[in-house]
Amino acid sequence: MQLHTLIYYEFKILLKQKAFLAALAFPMMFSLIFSVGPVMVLTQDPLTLYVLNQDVPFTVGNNTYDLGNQVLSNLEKGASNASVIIETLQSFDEFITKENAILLPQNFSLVAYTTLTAFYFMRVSSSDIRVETIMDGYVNPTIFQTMVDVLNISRIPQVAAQPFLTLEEINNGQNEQDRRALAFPLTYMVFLILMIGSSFMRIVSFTKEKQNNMMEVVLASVRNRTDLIMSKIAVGLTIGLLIPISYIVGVFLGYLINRYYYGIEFDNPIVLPTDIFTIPILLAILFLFFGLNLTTMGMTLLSQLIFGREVGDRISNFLHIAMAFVFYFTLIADPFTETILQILNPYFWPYRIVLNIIFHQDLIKTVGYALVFGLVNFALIKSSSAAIQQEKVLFE
Amino acid sequence: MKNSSEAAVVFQNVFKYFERKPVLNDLSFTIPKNQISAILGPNGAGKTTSVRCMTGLLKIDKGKIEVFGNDVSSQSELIRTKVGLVPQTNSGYTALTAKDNLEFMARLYGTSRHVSDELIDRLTHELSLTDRLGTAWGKLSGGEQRAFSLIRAILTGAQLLILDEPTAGLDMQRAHLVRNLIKSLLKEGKTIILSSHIITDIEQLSSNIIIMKNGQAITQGDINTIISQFSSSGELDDAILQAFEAPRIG
Repeated sequence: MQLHTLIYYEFKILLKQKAFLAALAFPMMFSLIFSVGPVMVLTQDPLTLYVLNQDVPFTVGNNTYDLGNQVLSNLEKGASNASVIIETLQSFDEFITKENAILLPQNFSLVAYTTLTAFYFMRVSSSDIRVETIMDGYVNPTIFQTMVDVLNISRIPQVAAQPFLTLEEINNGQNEQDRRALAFPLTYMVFLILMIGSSFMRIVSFTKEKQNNMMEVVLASVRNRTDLIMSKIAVGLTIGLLIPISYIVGVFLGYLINRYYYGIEFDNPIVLPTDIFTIPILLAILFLFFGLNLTTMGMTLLSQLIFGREVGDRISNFLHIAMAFVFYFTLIADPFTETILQILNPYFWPYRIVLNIIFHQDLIKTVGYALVFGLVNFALIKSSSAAIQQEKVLFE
Repeated sequence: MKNSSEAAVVFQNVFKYFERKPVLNDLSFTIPKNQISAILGPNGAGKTTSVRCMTGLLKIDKGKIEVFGNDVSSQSELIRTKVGLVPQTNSGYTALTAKDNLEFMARLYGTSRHVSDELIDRLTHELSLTDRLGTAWGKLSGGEQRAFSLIRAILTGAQLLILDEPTAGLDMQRAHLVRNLIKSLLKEGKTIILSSHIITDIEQLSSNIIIMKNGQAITQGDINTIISQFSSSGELDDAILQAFEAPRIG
């Protein structure tokens, strides 16, 4: 009965605080800015597209077909309307070093004439997000129209492009790319949300009781002190889940704005990619933040109750920031690395559990991490319940 | 010492140390049921500490405290259902309105909404605070917060009310209303412990006075007993000041 009342009024007080509403909007704004910002900036200047034309014209009867040069010429003609600058390359060595480049091969005209398929190679950049839109919306239609005009054909031609990858790029493997596509932005998201969340947890914890001189009244009125701890944790966890939800909403809003306003499908590598969002992955991400916030809340409560509000806040703040930094900067180069620094970091455990579950890795280690995670958080809650009985709670 | 069935609170040879310094030093006194008892003493006498020990907020190091026959050390959860507190400092959730703060306490003690609404209406009317119910706690004056704190303690429905400086910061008119309200609580069978430096409160409200000094109760009795023991002028304030200087009696 008292627990229900405590939780109800915890929420009521929280909803009256402007800091809560501002902090809730913050993750959404972050992911939105990271999604839409690069598109806004990049669409201000035209994209430079490099073309290497190796096509060798060929003759059939009285007709000579020089499709490569015609395509190049047409691309240059329409370039300004499509916000593209066409630059011609002279050698394959130049092509292989360029991003946003296309290669019209030696047999471009011949293959197009004999198979009615214009086949070319492309190198697309990971840094300029517009290139795929330019390929689909400008290059391919221009090649298509040129084929129709030049080849005097009776049926619909095709345009096919093959990504041109170096051996090194091929060796990296698609599977690894898929894994990193989730793991890398997830580490960033964890870092960002931990930084925002730790200040949140202080709002939810005993700060307001101390500031409003309510500690004495509340302690004299609540029969079971564990109810007090549980009400704080319940509210902290709810808010802790609202923060990543706010972030994910920002990702989707950014996706929609890019897709329907700028006409570009873009997933910033530091923002969660929209194409990996499935219900199980979303649930796993929410579990991850449940775990992270449980630990954060437990540490905040315990340090406030043991050391008093001011010292406790400083200690818990330092611990959160240090652990979040260690988490992020040891994983930034390789989100799958697992060193002693990470194994000792409580924020790493739920992260690793979630990655292992999503990518079906190492069941035994996953169970081990889950056990340690459960035990540590249980100990934090029990210690907080014990610490609230101490006299220090009243005086500091 | 009164029979424990007639006593609301009994302190028996209680010791409490802070950093090895005795704050309560062999403290013994009895608070009778259904009376207003005042605990008086100079700063540092141990009044607030004894109140906190009574509510189980602080653990005693030696001795025994009973509240309505229940040992505070072993039955602190039960004691908390029987005690309502107006602490020394103004306290309330500043983000909530005065009414929210009152309802919070009523809900915490399981008072139904219907009963608490009626009580809040009646009590705020008696203290001329009805029009301040919707005001954020942080925007109330110190005196208004004090008066609302008393209502909040009454809403607990507790049999023992501990009021630490209940009229501090109140204007004369509202202080008068608060004293009347406290007197009326006796008719509902409440036991009240008052800690106050305001002589009018003590004169008009208290039937039993405990004077503390250096963590001990140096004397206990009704107003006339205290005056006859310590004052040649027959004035209560003079008697209290003399008592603060006196050694322990009995």
